[in-house]
Amino acid sequence: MSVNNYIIGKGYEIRKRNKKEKVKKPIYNNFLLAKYAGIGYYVGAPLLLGVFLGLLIDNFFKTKPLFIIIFIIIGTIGTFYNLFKTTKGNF
Amino acid sequence: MLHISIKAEKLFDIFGFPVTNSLIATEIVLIAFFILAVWGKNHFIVRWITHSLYSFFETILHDKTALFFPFLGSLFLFIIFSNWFGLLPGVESIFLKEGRGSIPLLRGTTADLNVPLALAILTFIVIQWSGIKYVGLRQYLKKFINLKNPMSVFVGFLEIISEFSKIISFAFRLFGNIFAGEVLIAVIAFLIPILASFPFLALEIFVGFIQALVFSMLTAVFLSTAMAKEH
Repeated sequence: MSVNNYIIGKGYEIRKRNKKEKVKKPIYNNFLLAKYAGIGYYVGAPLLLGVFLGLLIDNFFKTKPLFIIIFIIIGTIGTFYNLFKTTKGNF
Repeated sequence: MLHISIKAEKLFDIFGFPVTNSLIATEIVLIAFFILAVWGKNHFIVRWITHSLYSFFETILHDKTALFFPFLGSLFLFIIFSNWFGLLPGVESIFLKEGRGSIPLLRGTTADLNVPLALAILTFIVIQWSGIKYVGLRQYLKKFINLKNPMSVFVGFLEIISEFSKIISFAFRLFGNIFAGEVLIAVIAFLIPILASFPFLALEIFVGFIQALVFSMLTAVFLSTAMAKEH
């Protein structure tokens, strides 16, 4: 009896594998290495960009707290969007 | 006294153009790179490195590897040389003046934010150019400006932010890791002068390699996603 004869089904139950179903092999590719080696900066960068842009525009137009708040909010949404993209797989 | 400066320091001017210590280090790296490229190109180690890099990028870019390999390979080699150059003895430890206001003669190339930022902007331009060339301008812009429904307008806006954040993420990843490593080594050597910084030096050699790999590999991944046609 081998481990490969069993499979985790859609309802997370363990059942016997049909002979037609293929065993999923673990993926070892460079995409994953690239993706997860830099995930911290990739996810955090929009927030940083928002802060920089907000500060720049505020200093330029002398509207001190307005644009930095707006751009931090946009940056946060961008951060979550990047996180969503990494989990979805279309990096 | 421990000398840590987050920005590169100016050594002298040439016709009003400020020459910083990291600029001198960059020139040394570039000359070494040039010598290796011209006289070392037939050496078996150079060939082995180039070959393994090529087959490495081939797993990501497939049939477009030959087009982008000169860019990606030189990016990798330049970054790895610069990272390791900062670890050589003499870099950040030879000072021009003693006491207050002392300036090191050399500084690790990628430990100056300008270099990673320049590389990141270059990478960004190449990614956009390849996207426009292989997908078509109209199709490529559709990713960013899409007026089908309000949701896709918003998603397009987020895509623009995500695209520009690549510059920041590239630049700060490289700068942060290398600069932090150099500060770490300086602090450890300041605390315990003998042998204690050796394991950290070995770690930094590894980090330098990994950062060069990540930078070039992420470029390859972004290139391949930019060139992929949307369904």
